[in-house]
Amino acid sequence: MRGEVKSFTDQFALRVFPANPYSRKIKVEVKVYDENFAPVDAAIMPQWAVLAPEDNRSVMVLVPFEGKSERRVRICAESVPFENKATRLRTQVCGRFFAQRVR
Amino acid sequence: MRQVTSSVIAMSALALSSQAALSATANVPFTSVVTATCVLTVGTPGVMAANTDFTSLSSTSAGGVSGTVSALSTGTTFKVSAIAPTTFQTAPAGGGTSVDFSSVYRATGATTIGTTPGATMTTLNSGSTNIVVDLAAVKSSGTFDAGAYSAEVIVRCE
Repeated sequence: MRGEVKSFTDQFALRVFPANPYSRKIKVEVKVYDENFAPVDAAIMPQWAVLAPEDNRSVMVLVPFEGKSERRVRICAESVPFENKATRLRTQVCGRFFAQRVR
Repeated sequence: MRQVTSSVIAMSALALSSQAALSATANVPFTSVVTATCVLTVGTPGVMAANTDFTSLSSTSAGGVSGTVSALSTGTTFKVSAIAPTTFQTAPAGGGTSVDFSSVYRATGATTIGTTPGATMTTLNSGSTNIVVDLAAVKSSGTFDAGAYSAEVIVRCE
């Protein structure tokens, strides 16, 4: 998924909605990466949540421009539904966002 | 004769108006917006098995089990990949040194994908796709010591 954001301040905000497709509760974590999948220091509220089956919740993400006039980030919802297995599959659903600072 | 004709017309008119009341209809509009979404659901986690000389742990070795993930896409812009780890999540002391990881995936369903290196992104068609993921860990020197090993493949949809 793609999105564009314009902001008048030195940071921009996005709201994402991670959902639980399983029939049991899972822990979901939201992370922000740059275009090369390096972690970005962003404010994520809440960073993780336990979701009931078929539930979803909104997560607010605030990303600083860090002095740049535009920024490309990936916001990813990650889950680890199965523990204690030899090969664990972590699912990661990411959206790519392009933000511009309007001066 | 004229009176009879009048009364028939009146009865007809009543009957007609009654029928119109019974068949009154109104249109109730419903709308819906489906957002472009990718839903990943893990079916089964995988199991890596050792080869006969204990230099490799792989889900394609005898006794190994591939991991499965279902990907539901409501758009045609999503791409899927299966990123191999760089280290074990858990391993006995020294067990994680000199290890190279590699992952591959294949898929059937809305999107058919032949065996593809994990880092390669493949565009998903709209619909449900069943993805099979394999992971191998190969020792470039030495053998895997006894103990429990676990590694994590990231199945990514973006």
